[in-house]
Amino acid sequence: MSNALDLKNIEKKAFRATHQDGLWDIYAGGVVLSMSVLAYSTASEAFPLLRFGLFLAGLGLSYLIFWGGKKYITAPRMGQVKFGPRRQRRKLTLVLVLAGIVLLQVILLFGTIFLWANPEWAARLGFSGSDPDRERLLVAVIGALFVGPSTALIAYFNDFPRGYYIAFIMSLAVFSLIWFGQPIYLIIAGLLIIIPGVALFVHFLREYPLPPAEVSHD
Amino acid sequence: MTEPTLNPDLAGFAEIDRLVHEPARLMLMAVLYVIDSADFTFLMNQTGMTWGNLSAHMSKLEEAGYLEVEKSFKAKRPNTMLRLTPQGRAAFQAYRLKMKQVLDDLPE
Repeated sequence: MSNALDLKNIEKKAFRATHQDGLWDIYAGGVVLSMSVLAYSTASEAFPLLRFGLFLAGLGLSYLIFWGGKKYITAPRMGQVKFGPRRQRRKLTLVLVLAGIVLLQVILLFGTIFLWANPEWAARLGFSGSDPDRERLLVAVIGALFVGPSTALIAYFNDFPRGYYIAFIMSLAVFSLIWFGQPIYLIIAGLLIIIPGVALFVHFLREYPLPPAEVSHD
Repeated sequence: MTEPTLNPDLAGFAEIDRLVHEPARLMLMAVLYVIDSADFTFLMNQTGMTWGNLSAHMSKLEEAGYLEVEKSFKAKRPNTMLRLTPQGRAAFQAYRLKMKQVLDDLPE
């Protein structure tokens, strides 16, 4: 009886079904691939505005694919659903946690700017610029630690197990971006996220054909 | 000729809500119980029912006051969202308890 009517499991499966179209993976992979344009900028200082513009265009395109894919391709096949108050509360908690992380990042950013502007303070706190490699390693680790856990939290609150894999790959990608400054690592990381996403998307399209136009229910 | 009397040990089964007890409707109510609302397409995907079958069961649940249907248009296409009413939620909850109770009370 308990197996036949496990309501928590029914809810979980219904919720997870909304993430099975691979679009989140394609979006996250697109973000990582867009970051590869920034990696070029550390190797060469030419056309910084163009590179930043390309990075933003990549982010925009990734979001457009995600939004358009959800709206015009997967939502009509999957159908619409609104989940109960428990999911709404989890969403709110996630927003609050992520806001806290963003606040921490802003504090860290301003702290870094302050220490750059005041080297005597940096020296007093043990962050003197005597070893640029050590500094870059520190920044790379901090960057990876911000991206990885934030993405893992999104995965946790959204009941999205593949998100942990994406979090791991994304944190490696951020570390590579800062430490190696080579776009190839980011391209590999982006593809490692996008390829399973595309496979899921194709599987989704096969499993969920477009339903007939809705007949009125009278 | 006297009418057959109901065995008191089995009386609990007679009190089960037949409207909820039908497997397809039970499946439908279980899905709607754990969410807030959904459209036909989502429910078809979750339950594996056909459009006609789903529509027929929806009508029965709606007639009983267990289900409310909210019709609207999204991008010029008709959109029907379905939700269990408080009465429907109570009926599903009562059904669960009743089934558990009558089956637990049966001797091994």
